[in-house]
Amino acid sequence: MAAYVLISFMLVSDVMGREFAGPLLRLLGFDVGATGIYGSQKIALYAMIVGSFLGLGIATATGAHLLPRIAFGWVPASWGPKVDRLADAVTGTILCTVAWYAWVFVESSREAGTVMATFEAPVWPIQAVIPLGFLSAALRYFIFALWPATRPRPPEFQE
Amino acid sequence: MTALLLVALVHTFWGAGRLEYVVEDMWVALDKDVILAIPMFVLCGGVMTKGATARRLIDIAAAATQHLPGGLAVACVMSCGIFAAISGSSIVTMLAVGSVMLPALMNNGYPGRFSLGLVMAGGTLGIVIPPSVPLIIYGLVTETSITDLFIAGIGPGILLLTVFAGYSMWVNRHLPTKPFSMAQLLQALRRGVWALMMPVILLGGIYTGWFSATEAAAVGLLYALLVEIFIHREMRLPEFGSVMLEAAKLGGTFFPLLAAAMSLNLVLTEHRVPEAMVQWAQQYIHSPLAFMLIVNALLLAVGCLVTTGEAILILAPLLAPLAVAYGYDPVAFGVIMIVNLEIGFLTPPVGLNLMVAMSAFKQKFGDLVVAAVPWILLMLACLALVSWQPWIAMYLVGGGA
Repeated sequence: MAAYVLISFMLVSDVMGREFAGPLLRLLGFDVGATGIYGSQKIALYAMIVGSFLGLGIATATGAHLLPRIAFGWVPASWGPKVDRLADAVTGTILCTVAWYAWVFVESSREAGTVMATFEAPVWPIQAVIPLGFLSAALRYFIFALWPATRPRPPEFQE
Repeated sequence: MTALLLVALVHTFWGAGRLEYVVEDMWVALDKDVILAIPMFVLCGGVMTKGATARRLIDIAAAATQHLPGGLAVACVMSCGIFAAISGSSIVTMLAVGSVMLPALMNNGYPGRFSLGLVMAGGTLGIVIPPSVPLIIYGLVTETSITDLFIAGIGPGILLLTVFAGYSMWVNRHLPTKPFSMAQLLQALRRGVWALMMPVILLGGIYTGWFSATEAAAVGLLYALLVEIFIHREMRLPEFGSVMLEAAKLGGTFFPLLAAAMSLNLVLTEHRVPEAMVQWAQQYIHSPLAFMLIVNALLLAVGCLVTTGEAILILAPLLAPLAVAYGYDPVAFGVIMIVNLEIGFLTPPVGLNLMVAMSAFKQKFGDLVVAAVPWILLMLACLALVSWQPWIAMYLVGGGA
């Protein structure tokens, strides 16, 4: 949630500074230079990426993740609980695999010294949220598989 | 998960076989500033929904239309249209306006089936009239200007509003009307003018080029907070926390999916799949009209089975190059695609507005499906018109199609 507060703050401050405060101060005769916030969109974007991948865990925990509905009802209802546990275990394993490959990507980015487009700072600490997010979601699925009572009810509706 | 597996399979069999490239593509896909518009518009719509905006907009629309035949139904259509220009979401629009208007319509003698259909169909305007989250997704996956898409959404939005309002007047032409009261309208305007200014600021800022879509969303959020907390005083700052939490959940569900889908698009583009599809299609489909008919039939079928977001993520990158090859502007095609998928909100088995209405308005699914039929036909007519005459979308963008 903090990430979304930061996104809102950075974008709103940048636009207000550039479009309102700057022109107003110049109108009043002040030489204020640039009044937007340098790199604000990039900071907000990185905050969103961090928020999204950490939010993957929240979405999993609250059952808010998106589910394609096409195959709903193909499995007899009586098999439901067992199939759910199996699906959770398989999903957890797949997410662990994705987390591993995400970590390989982050490692290669760190070794290559990739930097952020605007700030010349290493980008890998931001990229590291990708494996962390998938790993966090994987752990939750393993917990659902082991203790099905902790599994959240899927939402009635998704948009 | 399904999207990730699909991308991994494509990378394994057709790509370089190194699965870390999937994650790299996901990073490249998300590292785009324009993506920020999505959480901003979600936050903006969330704030306006928590507050008193919908009720005040409805009061203005009701005061302006009560002298017309079927005036309250027309007010419902107008309220949905104005709220759609704030929220960018179909379900939010339907619930915000429908929860107030449906009881009012029933109490004033409007037929129940008509009223349910009206509220459900009015809600779908949320994804056509800008700002629209599905239009942003289309712009992202096809690299089309989101500003142009927003402007192009205005024409079809007005067309749908006009058709819905005209149908509402015709169906309810025998119901009694109330005399027009300028005093009542002015009073409603005084109470609701701040809410009414929201779409003017959002769309005006984008249309005049003062703001980008992302900046307009940020300004809209600040404006919505100021209006709801300090002017309407029907929302407290701590309540913004729950709006933020909803946005964070959406981020956690949607953005990894968006990244996976865009990663898939990068692989498909690298292997020139869209070009191959264009060549294949042009062997069998020779006229743009036939292409448009087939695509619309496909999208209508897909819209019955999957949600709008999924349909756009999967199909837009494949269909948009085809549309361009047949002479359609990608902006016009995007709007046609959204108008088409809008109908999917009202079609079983996964019509989201049907399912939400079933729960929110305590109605049987079958009754809701029947109630939606005339509105689906009206929307199909509008879709046909926009597909046949794309200038309806493109006129304000400044080009034909």
